[in-house]
Parts: sequence; C-alpha cells; structure tokens
Amino acid sequence: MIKKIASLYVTLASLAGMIICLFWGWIMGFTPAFRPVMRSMNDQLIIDWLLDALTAHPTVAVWFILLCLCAAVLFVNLAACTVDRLWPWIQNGGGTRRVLLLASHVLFAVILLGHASSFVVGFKYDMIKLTDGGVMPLEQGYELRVEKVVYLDDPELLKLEHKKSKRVLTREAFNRYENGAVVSMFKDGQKIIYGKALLLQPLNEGQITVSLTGMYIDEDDPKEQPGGVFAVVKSPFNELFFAAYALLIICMFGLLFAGWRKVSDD
Amino acid sequence: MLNEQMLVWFPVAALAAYLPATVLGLMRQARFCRILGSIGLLALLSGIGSVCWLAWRPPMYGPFESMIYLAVVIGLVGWFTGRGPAPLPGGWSEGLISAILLLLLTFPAELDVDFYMYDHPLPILFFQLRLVAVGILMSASLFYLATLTKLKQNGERALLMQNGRNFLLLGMTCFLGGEFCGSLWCLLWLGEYWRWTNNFLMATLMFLLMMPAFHLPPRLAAKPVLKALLGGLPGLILFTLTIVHQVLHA
Repeated sequence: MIKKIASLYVTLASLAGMIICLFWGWIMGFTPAFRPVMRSMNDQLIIDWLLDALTAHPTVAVWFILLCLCAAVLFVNLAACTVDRLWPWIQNGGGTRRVLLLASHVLFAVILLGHASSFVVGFKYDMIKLTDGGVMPLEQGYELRVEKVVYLDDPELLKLEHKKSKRVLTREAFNRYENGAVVSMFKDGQKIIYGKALLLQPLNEGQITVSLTGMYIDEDDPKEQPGGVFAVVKSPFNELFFAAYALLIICMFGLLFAGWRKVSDD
Repeated sequence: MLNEQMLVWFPVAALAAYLPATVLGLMRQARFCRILGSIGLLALLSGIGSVCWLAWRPPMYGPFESMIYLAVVIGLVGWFTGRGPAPLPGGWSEGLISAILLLLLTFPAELDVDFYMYDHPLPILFFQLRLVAVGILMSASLFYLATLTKLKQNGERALLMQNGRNFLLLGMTCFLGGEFCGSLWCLLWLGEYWRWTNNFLMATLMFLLMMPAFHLPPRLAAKPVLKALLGGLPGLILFTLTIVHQVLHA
C-alpha cells in the first residue's frame, strides 16, 4: 500500500492538481466578481474566512478546499516516499547527495505543515484604520491603541490611489524612517507592547506582531488628520517556517553542487 | 558626466554586437560569434553598472532595468557554457538576447521608480533573485529545447539535458531564494508571509511547475521529448510572463 502512495505518478498527479487549482485561483483573481472575495481571504484567519465563505461564496470556498486537498495528497505522498524510498537509501550508505535529497524532502514537508498551521492557529486582523487616540478591541483580551500618528511629508501623497502612489512615494518624497505611529498593545488591560511602528519595522512581543501597513488621510476630513493602517497577527510558527525554508534553500544549493558534474542518472 | 539619457546607448551598443553574433552563430562561426558576444556582454554589464551608479541601487523592475538584467544573465550563462562540452547551438542565446534588446529599445530608457521601500535589502534581494532566476530558467529552457534538434554527436543530447537540469535546479534555487526574501519582506510589511493575491499564486504555481522535471517515473523519464518539454516549460512560461508584465505595466 505504502509503495502505491509513494509512487511518483501520485506526485505528478498531486502537482498537476495543485497547478490547475493555482491557475484557476489566478484567473479568479482577475475576475471582478471573485477579486473582492479573494482579497477578503487576507483579512482574517483562513479557517474563519472559510466558515463564512462556504455559504456566501461557495465557488471560491470549493476552489480553496480543492487546493488544500491536492496539497494534502502531495504531503502524504511526500511522507510515504520519504519513509519508503529516501530513508532506505540512507540506511544502505547514502552519500552527501542522498542525505541532502532526504533533508530537502523533510524540510519541504515541514514548510507545508507550517503553512497549513497558519490557516488555523493564532489570529489575524488586517486593514485596521486608526487615527490619534483610536482604539481597536481584539479577541483573547487584546486591544490596540494608537497614541500618535507621525507624518511629516506632503498630505496629498496619502490621498492618492494605490496604483498612482507607487510612482510618487519615492525615497525623497516619503521618509519611511520618520513617518509612523506610536502604538500600545494591551492584554487584559496590561500594556505588553509600546513603541513606534514604522513601515517595514513592526513591533513584536512573543507571537504577536503589530505592523503599520500603510498611512492614509480621509478625503472628507477637513483637518487632514493622517491615520495609520495596521495589521495585528498572532502566528506561533513563523520562526519554524522560515528556518525550514532557509535550510531547504541551503540543501538545494548543496544538491546543486553535489550533482553539478554528475552525468544524468534520471 | 553619465546621465539617464545616455542609458539607451548601452543596449544599442550591445545589439550592434549581438545581431551579427547571432548571424555568425547560425553560420557556425563559433569563434567570431563568441568574440562579438563578449563585446555585447561587456556593453550590457556597463549598462548595469551605469544603472547602479545613477540610481544608487542595483537594477530592480521596469522595462529597461529588468530586460537589460535578463539579457545579462542569459548572456553570462551562454558565455560560461560556450566552451564547455555541451554549448547551446550557435546563435541561440545571442538571438534571444537580440530579441530582448530590440523589445527593450521600444521603451524609454529610463530608471524604474525610486519607491521608498527600495532602500531595504529584502525588496532588493527579492527582485535581484527573481530576475536572476528568470534568466537562468530561460537558459535552462534553451538547453532542454536544444535536445530536440538534430544532434550529430552521440551523447550530446545527454550532456545538453544535464546542462538543462543543472540550470533548472540553479534557477529553481534562486527563485526560491527570491521567494524567501519576498516572504520576509511581506512579513515585515504586512505582518504575515503569505497573501492570497495573484502574485503569490503565480509564484507558487511557477515553483510547482519546476518540480515535475525532477520527479519523473523511470518509464516517463525515458522519453526525451517529454523530459525536454517538462524541463523547458517553466523557464519559457516565467520568462514570457515577466516580459508581458513589463510590457503591460510600462
């Protein structure tokens, strides 16, 4: 049985399934009817999104479930192949190339698991728009409070559409080392994070990350008070994911050098 | 003094060398093809140096910067493998570079926007590794496609296939390195390493598309045409998507 699950034909079939699903998702991302639904997948934890989407947006929900199923088949195939084929290779005196091959497969499995865990573990709030003194209560007793938004450049820059803004938000026009927001994060009334969040410089405490993802000015606001757009994410497996990812890249470089001059043994 | 208006002369000079190099390569004049190709490559490398000098950063995206970068990577792979046991057929990489340069010259020779995030190492590494990967993967595609041509010497197909496989794995590793930097960039910016957007979906699709070439069952691996198509496809698709993206967003 395990030999059948470990088959390279199963690998190819699951890869083909994932490729088709990703292509389908890519097409839906361009379709006006589905684009907002796809975007809403970023606003909260995927498991929370899925529970709503099953009734509200069944097409996208089915697409996502199919993608996950294909990935699950690939994962099972990967595990079976590792146990049935790659591990016995090592036991029979592997050599560097085979050890690296085994390591890269195990690391890929860890990455898949880490990615899957981020769908269900922790919490996520995206696109929280707050100005000076704004407060956002979150789950599990957390609360985000913005003490002060600091913006020193031309207010007109923050009123532009996203597509146009990239051309004008240059290093000269937008000072990303000064513009930011002083924020506090509370857990059950106790302050656990305090500091200035900048773009590309989030504030962290344990598994919680408070990120300033953008800045804005409401067009209707006569005072032109700048605000910050925030994301608060609790994600316990980020370190594991990135460690496995980095090691996988190192293993692939190792495989490359170990096999560069070797005549094809496919 | 060097200024942005002068940038156009680097691809023009490179094209002046690569076009005759292509013709000479197709006429099997390997030595002259290599000499002219080296001159063209020097012109392109000077263009890259000029972009770095003017923008105080390496080339990022935008038609001019990305296309000149792709041409350099493909040129370097062609140059380094040119004297090896299994070089590409004469004129192939030179012809491709000429086509890229001709397309490049239809766009204004201007630097990419100086977006405020482009002083951070992660976006820089993401774009560098992505472009290097696209260039290397396209070169891998050329090696795989060359195995489908009529070959005179025995064993030449296996060597070309081996070069294709090496560059596919190198391109895949660079691509993954770029995605790693992109994920870290996303984590620092948006608080998470993955977004449900077209860019992320396509990047994952491309990575998965590179895998079948390394996971063929023996019965399928014995079919050279299938092997060549599966190995050559990722580079061709990624290269085409990159060029189309530049053309549409210019």
